[in-house]
Amino acid sequence: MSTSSSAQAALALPVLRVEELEQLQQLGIESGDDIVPSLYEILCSDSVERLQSMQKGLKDNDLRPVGAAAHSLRSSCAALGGDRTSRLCQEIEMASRRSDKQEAATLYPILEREMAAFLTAVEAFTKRTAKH
Amino acid sequence: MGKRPSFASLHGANVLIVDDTPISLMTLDIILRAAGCSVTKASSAVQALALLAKQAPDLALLDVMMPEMDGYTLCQKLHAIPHCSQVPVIFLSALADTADKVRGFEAGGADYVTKPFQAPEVLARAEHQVKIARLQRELQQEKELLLAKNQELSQARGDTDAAFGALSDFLPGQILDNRYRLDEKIGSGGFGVVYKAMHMGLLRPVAVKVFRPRRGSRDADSIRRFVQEGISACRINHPNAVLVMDAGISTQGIPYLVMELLTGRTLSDELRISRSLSLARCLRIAIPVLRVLVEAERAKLVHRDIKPDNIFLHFNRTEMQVKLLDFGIAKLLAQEPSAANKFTHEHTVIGTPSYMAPERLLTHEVDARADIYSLGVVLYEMLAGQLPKQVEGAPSINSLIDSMDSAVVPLQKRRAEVPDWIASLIHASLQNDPQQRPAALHFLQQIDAAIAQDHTLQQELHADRAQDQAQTSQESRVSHAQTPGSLHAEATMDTLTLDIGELLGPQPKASHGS
Repeated sequence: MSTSSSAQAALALPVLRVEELEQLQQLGIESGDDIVPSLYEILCSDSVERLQSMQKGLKDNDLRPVGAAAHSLRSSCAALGGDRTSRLCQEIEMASRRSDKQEAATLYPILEREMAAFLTAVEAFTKRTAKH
Repeated sequence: MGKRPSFASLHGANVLIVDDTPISLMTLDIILRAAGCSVTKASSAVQALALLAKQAPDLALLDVMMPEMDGYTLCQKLHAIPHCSQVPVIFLSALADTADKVRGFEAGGADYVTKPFQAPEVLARAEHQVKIARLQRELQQEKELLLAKNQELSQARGDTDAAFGALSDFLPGQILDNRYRLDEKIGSGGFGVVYKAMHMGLLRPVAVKVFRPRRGSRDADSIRRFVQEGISACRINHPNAVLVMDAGISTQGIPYLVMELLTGRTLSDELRISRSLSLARCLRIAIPVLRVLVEAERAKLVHRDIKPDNIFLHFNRTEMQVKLLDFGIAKLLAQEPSAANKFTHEHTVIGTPSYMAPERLLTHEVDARADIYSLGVVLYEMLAGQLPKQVEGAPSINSLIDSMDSAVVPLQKRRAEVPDWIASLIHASLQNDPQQRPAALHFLQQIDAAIAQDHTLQQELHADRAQDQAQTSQESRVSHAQTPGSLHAEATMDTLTLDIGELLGPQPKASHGS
């Protein structure tokens, strides 16, 4: 798959699959925890840390931390319904594994941009549900 | 969201989650706590191992890709902790390749879930593992309980045996039911002890088999089984089957069988002296046994334990006579099946594994053809000096079942001069399929026909018989000189002339199978 096509495939996915957050919210209610705002806060700090790790790896020409950070962020995004960012992380992880720095470097800014959109969407969800 | 399953088995289960991704850790935590689990979290393998050293969880969910130590290594280290060796591990990973999953199972994982996961799937798999682990623990407890019980029973049986062994030494001199005075102990075995005894009314020497008491042997079924043994043995009315004269349970509660007293040795003894026998000797032993089996087949009786120990070479004053012992565990096929089954219930398989027909080893229904198989093994052993199948180690029911499909070593490979006709008959009797085995009568007819055509064999048969007669008369002369005046039972090989009142010369070696 060419760089553009893998990015295109990821971008075709929703920024936020809201059902995932709704389900977590429901589970939180059952166990007496308001979990989604906490998850949002963790995601904010975690994503910043992982993105920095990726950026540094790309700069240092060391794809190992790039792949590891992408792997972790991929799980986090998927757990919260961030299908698009999760897929972009997966593509970066795979590119890192096959030492394709160019692909990883091309996808990274797209991930950075989409991560911001994802965080905004999650924040909006927490605010919306908090009003209820 | 529809109605979710309750995952009741997870309620109260202690679950350890190990994941370096905070979001995954938190989402799993909420999923499991909502299902009633008690959750412990660790964000690294090192932290997890510290927690595991203190307490074993009911289940561990491990991420695979973690810094410092991956989930596979953690799983192996976890199972190396003695109190955690049985903890089920589920791997949770975004690594979805088959190779990654296989590696997970190789590392000791019980299951593998790929991320992104769905809460119901994680819970269903977690519940499944918790249930299995719980059942395994229960099974282990049951096993330990059974082992303890078994040890207790073995101890009790050992105590009983010891007590019986001691008691059996004191029985000589005792009189059972005012009729049988027990004299010297002449044999013992798994079932009990055999005494040379005296019928007080007839002043006739007899053999009395006193049965070893077993756990529950005083219950109605055991007594019925014991009486059955006597009845079944009595039903064989043949000069080459040991004559059972009485059976009962004495007023002192001692179960016993009264049989004719035999003098001589078992075929086992003979095979210990000469490892293999001549064809003539072999036939002189096999023919009478086959005659009993023809009679047994007619009476719908199966001996079930034909082996060299149960073939007795009885030396009376003039002749060697073959006596088949122990129809005691025979099953009366004519009886109603449910009643018959009760007698084999106590010991699923009664008999000696090396001589057992495959259908007996497999505890299938047996008929007269099972005895033909056993006789085939005995014949083979008499001629070849060893058993027809090689089994590693001591022959057990399991090892013989395993070797059931292995081929019998051709008899002529072990003893080249064995004639084709008898080798064929023996191999036919050793067929796994009972239908392929010859009937006793057919077997006998084939032997008769072969002897009729073989002048040399006839001469060898006469010579073997003459040798026995010479030995018998020599022993008889010696024994008459020693203690005249006893009673004896006399029979020839071909005809029974039982004369209870006739005086018997003293027995050089009074013996009887037990």
